[in-house]
Amino acid sequence: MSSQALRVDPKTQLFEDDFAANSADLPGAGLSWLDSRRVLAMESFAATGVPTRRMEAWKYTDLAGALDGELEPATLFRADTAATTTDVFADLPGTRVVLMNGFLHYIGGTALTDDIDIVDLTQLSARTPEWVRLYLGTGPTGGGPGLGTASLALMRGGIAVRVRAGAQGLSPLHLRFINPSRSQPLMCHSRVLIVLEEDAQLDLLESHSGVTSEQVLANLGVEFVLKKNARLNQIRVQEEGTHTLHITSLDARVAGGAHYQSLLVNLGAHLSRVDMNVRLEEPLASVGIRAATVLGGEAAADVTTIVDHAAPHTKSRQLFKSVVGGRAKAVSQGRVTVRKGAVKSDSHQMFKALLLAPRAEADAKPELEIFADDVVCGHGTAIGALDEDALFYLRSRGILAAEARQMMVRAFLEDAIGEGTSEAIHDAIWARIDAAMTNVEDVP
Amino acid sequence: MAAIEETRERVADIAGEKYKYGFVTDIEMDLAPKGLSEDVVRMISAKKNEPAWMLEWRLEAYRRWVKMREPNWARVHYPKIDYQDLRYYAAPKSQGERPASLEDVDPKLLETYKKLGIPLSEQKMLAGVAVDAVFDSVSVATTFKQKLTEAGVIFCPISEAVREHPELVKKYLGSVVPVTDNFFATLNSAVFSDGSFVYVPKGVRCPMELSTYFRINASETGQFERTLIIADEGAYVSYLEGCTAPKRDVNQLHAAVVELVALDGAEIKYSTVQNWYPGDEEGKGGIYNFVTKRGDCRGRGSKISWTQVETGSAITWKYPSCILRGDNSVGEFYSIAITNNYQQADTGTKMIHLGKNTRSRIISKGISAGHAQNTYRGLVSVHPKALGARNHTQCDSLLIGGNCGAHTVPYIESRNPSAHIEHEATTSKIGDDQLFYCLSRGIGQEEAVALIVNGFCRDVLQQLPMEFAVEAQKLVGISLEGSVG
Repeated sequence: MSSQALRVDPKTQLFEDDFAANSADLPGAGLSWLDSRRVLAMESFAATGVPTRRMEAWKYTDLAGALDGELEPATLFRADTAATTTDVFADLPGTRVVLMNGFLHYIGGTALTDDIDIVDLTQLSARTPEWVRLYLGTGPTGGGPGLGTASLALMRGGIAVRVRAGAQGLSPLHLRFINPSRSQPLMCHSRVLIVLEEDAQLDLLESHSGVTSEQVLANLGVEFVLKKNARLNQIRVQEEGTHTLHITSLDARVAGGAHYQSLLVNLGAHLSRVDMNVRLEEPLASVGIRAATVLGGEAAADVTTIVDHAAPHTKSRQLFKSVVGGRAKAVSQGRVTVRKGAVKSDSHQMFKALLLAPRAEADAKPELEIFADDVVCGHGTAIGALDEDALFYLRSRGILAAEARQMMVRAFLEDAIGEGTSEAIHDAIWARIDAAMTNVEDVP
Repeated sequence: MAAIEETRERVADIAGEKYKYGFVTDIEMDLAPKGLSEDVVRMISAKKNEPAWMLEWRLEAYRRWVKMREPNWARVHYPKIDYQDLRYYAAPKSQGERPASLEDVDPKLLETYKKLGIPLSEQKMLAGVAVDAVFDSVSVATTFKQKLTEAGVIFCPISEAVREHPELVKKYLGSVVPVTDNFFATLNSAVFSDGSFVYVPKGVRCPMELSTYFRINASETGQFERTLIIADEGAYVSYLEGCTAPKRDVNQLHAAVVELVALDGAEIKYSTVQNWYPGDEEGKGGIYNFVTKRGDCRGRGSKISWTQVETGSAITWKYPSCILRGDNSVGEFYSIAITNNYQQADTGTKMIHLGKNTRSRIISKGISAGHAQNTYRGLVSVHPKALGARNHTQCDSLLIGGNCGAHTVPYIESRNPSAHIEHEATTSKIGDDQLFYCLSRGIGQEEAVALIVNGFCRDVLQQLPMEFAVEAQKLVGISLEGSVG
């Protein structure tokens, strides 16, 4: 370890140099609470550095290898959003918040009510509300080595949202992240903080996109705080540009009776990783995570979760489905921890992958770590190709081979996408998946 | 009064039963000085009258080992081992010259094996099992040699094989577990003192079960045995391994290497009942068991099957693996790992699918009680050329009591779309209703637990040869004694 500490690799150096040169100009610099959190985060990041495959948690995803050595920190930049692809949720009602390379760009759509507060993280000052100070950067950001700590230390922008206690029936909040490339490779470090007070409910639509010709590192740190009986329903579609490295480090704290539901749809990016760390802190807290990944070409997508059953009577469900073609690689890793005393914890993980091309790859690591005896925990994994018998059956009914395959792939993904989504959202997501499927080389 | 007396006797019996192999044989030993250096490696090699190439092989391993670091990724915690504070060779003095027949074996040794229930005396054998008995660093006796020789099967201590069959040893030793494989395997390569060597020639079905019995007796001594089994084309062999050690307060190191090679159409069945001293209720003492076991299904249609019952050792670090290189080859892994008190086990398997239509099956049952930690760690890897590969993995964990841990860490990697991989794992405790049912039928708590656990393990116990299965079933009950109530 000591020799590692002495020799900082050039990619980690990039982040450290940015911090050394610019920390005094970062948003909120001079606020002691934030300064100390940033310094701690930077120290913690420097201790492990940019993740390499030598790290257990990054065994299947080579971020250090993919990262360009010459990334410039993104700056505030006004571009025409129309220059990018249309948004997956463009036709849906809701309050629309657009972030460009991590900077708040505009807020539109349905007007905000008093029940919801939004703070632009570039504008942090002594007048910043107490709840931001209380929560921003206090979660463990991701869990294990990664870029979550760097997203706090080098945070350039982002937003914080609070939904007041008891607020329900709000129009959906739509966060649209656009990460276009510019003339040189970019790195964007931004944060999102969402606090749901007691009994509050929020539908969160999240889309990530951007046309790229140069490398963009979109490094996003997300914190969700769900207080008692709050409910957060997150639906997230990632269709970043082909040169984008998309890293999200998400930390969710779920209090008693609260429920966090998440659907992750991964369709784009050169390399994407969602590092999720969910802590079920009090009895009756629950979480449901579903992921649908469709990849072709040379893309790589990695969904890594840690679900921590820290209290008795907590429940978690995870269902990850991946369809992989070309030379793409889908990684599903999930660790469920049941702490001592967290009896009656109920957890299930299911990872399934369909490989559609000879060079496609799927890796899975569903992990259980259990320190209590009265629990019901299980996981399952299945990796394979489309079932030839089923294909034959469909073809014998006069359905063309291509169509039959498409039907089967749809059926495979549907149970990850179908549940709990409204029809409009469901159709919007499927339209994007169908488009993505055309890129997935289907060579039998 | 009588009843009290009876109870007292019964308690004494159970206490004695807990680890009945914990006695020490008082026998004069030939010991190497403490510490490890090139000189010690040379000394071991000289003691074994080894040819120069073997010494060179060992020295190369030693030089590599000096530069290696002890792995720390497993979920086991133990104080740092001082490798210079151990002895790397210990042999009963009377074994200076290997006895020509059983009559020449030191009676004290025979007594030891009798106590352990290992029949070395051929006349008294019930079942036709050929036994190679390894006491600390050397093999003391091999039975049924004559009958095996008639069939063409070579079954002898590896030290003997190095001298008598150098061409086979040279060809296969280190070909499955290379000298540089890992820290413990490299250490073993440098200092291994004995172990068994088996060669089953083409088309021969080994006429009896082969068995090795390992016994650590000396204190502050590491045991490093090396087993090499080769099944030539179309051959079949079933091999059993058992191990025990005396109760001592200090931890003892055991780092073995087992290599299996199955050529075209050959089948090797390797069964282990590992019952090294697990330490006492407080976690004091016990064996550190760091073992590298790997089988290479080198030929088409070959098969390697590992069955293990792991009940002993303070620390178990062991991943019997199969490299499925030959087309249509089959790998199997059946495991029961029981940890009680302060035992820690990190065990599992690796199935590496390289050939076409290779199949593997993994069934792992982990049982954790007391303050123990039990981890299943396994890899299923399908390479791009392994068309039609198939794997099914099932790993179940059972927790007894609220202070233990059960963990599952499977790695599943598929790089071939025609491969089918399935994995399922569950963790639960003994059902209250099951326990209640047994209790209501007048079955005592401990017995009920043993019964339920035996049922939980049935899939694996069924894979064991009959003599072992009976012993293993008893062992399951004994290992869990005191874990409930």
